[in-house]
Amino acid sequence: MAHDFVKFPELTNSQLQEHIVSPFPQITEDIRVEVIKVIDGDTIKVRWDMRDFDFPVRFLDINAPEMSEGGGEARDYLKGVIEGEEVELQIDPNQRVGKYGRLLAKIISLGMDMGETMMRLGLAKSFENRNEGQIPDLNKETRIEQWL
Amino acid sequence: MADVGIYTKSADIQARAGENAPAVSKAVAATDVYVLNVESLINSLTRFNWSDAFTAGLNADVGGILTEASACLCAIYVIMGDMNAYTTRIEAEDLINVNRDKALFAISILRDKKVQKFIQEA
Repeated sequence: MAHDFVKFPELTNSQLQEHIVSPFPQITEDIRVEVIKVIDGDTIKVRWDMRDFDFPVRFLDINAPEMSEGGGEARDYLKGVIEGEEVELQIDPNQRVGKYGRLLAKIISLGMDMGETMMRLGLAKSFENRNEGQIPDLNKETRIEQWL
Repeated sequence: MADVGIYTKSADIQARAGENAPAVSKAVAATDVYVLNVESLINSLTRFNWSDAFTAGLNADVGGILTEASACLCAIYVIMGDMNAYTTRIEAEDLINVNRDKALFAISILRDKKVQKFIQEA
């Protein structure tokens, strides 16, 4: 089945190895882009010279609250600081593409890692600690199927 | 002894460099060398001329964050001047880490456009 490049513009590493031909350049190393829009506290839409469409980028190592969970503050901060600005995307070759086919990257603005900045300000958590403080789903954790 | 900093004075820097700060690099003659550069860095990084705003008059209740950002960055230079002046290398490294963290925190806040407006209007 042909890859749906409209829905999923980024090819994963394994898809790259399968030699799927991409109609536009794939991003495998650091690039500079313009931030067109801040979607929420951990996702932005960017424009890159080498592609004729804008595409989403998710912060590699942070997790900001969803908009329905009070994520407006994180989004507003990012909007004020990087929207309309040029930023550097630092790509981890081993974690290029995330859930929903989005590109994952560290976002560097004027030399500052915006992921770190967001965590420092308490606007986001590190991806590892994203579930910190949440009540665990006991039904899920104790279900017998996981032991079989 | 000019003490040329606009929103950072030598005493602010010395306080953050710790009690064992090296005599040569904590002297006003030394801090004068880099304080304006650090203020310029903060103005550029936050895309706002805080030096002009400070001179024109900022409410001291909120303007202290500028001193915090700048003095902490300058203190790192003072500490690096001679890390042997401290009791242990760890003491110097701890001071650098604390100052770095506080400076980055303050700069992150200062980059927020809403905060910039708040500080000016306070």
